[in-house]
Amino acid sequence: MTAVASRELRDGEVVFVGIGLPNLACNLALRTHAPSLVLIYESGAVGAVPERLPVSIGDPALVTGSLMVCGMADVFQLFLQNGRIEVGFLGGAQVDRYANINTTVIGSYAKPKVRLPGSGGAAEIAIHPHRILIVSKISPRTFPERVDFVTSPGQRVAKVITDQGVFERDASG
Amino acid sequence: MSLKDAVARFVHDGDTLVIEGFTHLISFAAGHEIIRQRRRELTLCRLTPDLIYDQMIAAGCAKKLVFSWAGNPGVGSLHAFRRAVEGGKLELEEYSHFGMVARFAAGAARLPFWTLRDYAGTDLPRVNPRIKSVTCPYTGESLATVPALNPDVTVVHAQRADAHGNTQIWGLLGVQKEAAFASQRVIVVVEELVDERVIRSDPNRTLIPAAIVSAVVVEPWGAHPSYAQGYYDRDNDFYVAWEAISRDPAALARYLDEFVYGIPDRATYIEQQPALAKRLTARAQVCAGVNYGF
Repeated sequence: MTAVASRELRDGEVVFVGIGLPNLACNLALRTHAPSLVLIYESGAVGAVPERLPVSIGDPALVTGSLMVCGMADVFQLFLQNGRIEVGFLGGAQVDRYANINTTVIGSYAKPKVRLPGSGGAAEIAIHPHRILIVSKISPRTFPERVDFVTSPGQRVAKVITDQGVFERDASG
Repeated sequence: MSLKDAVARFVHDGDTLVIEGFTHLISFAAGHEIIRQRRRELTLCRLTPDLIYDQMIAAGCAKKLVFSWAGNPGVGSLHAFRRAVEGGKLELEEYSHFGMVARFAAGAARLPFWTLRDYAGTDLPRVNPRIKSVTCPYTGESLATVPALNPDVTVVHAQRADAHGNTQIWGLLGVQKEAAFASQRVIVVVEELVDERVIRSDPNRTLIPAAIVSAVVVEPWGAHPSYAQGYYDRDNDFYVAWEAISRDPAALARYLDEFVYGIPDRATYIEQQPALAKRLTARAQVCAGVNYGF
């Protein structure tokens, strides 16, 4: 799944890297077919070349040897909102048939069954890049008909990559 | 000033408190001192509550949490946070990262709100009525808005500062500059106190000027288990260990007894863990240097 996800990235593209599986896939692409892939992390590292697999998106290895480190106001305004990001790459606790992602809550927001971490940058990463990809393991629990909470809207998602197959939009959108 | 004195003087019950630092430079030393001094009814604000707010929530410091991503980075859940939320015991005000960044930017500029192109199609505005929208007077476009965040007190951990509080940070910068400028009071905690000449030798690296700083505290390893670029690595083993500790309220209470309540200060915390330096001290990678001459 991670290998298939990594092949979605083209050499030279600018990709906004989400936490978890996208982080793995982007780093795999950088080390295989896309050595000129520009990895941008919401933590402010631009053109990161981590010499170890970053444990989190704020890992110090993202800074050492990177092209640029900027504050988070610059990441979100000057890169993301400005339209400079070609690919947004997200994971998701729950993904529905419309490619909406839920990383906020299982059950109701007011009385949660399971409280998940929340958006982080995922709300805006699903809105601004030119092409949006999701990678997530599929199961009845993680791919419900409708997510309990829309953290990241699915309207602009191009592909959902899972361990059983890759979903794309049909003609009806 | 000692951290004990800085917290006693500048952090009060009921305050809106920010301890910022995105994975990098999180002042666990200040968080632990606030727990030791048993501050209560705090509104805790941070993009990523991280282990430090999980500990402060468990210790009973928090009334409310304002945040955008509440996980254990690279590991999983923050279990004290989850217990509090799933048990209905913690008030939440939730944004995305961009929303929180925009709130600090508005606060730092002393504007009432910030506009951003965000939230269309998400459920966040439905559960947070403070996310609103405004019609652009020039284009007619509808833009999302978030209110300014002006904390009572912000704590920033940094690599170095001079005695006046001119503070230099490198590596990930997070939103520390905006948070500090938005705040009424600012406590700076540093790895090293340096002479003013060191600051003046590289002024582009100064993120926070002395003019907005209330107190400067020197606390080596004060960000552990988070990290300080060029000083020590993130203690990923501890972040992993926190999963089991935070899952079990009794284990969490034992942790707080041993590493927070049971010791007087950060120096003791480091003395009782002599293996940290060997395991985490950063190796040198020094930059090329720049010419500031004219």
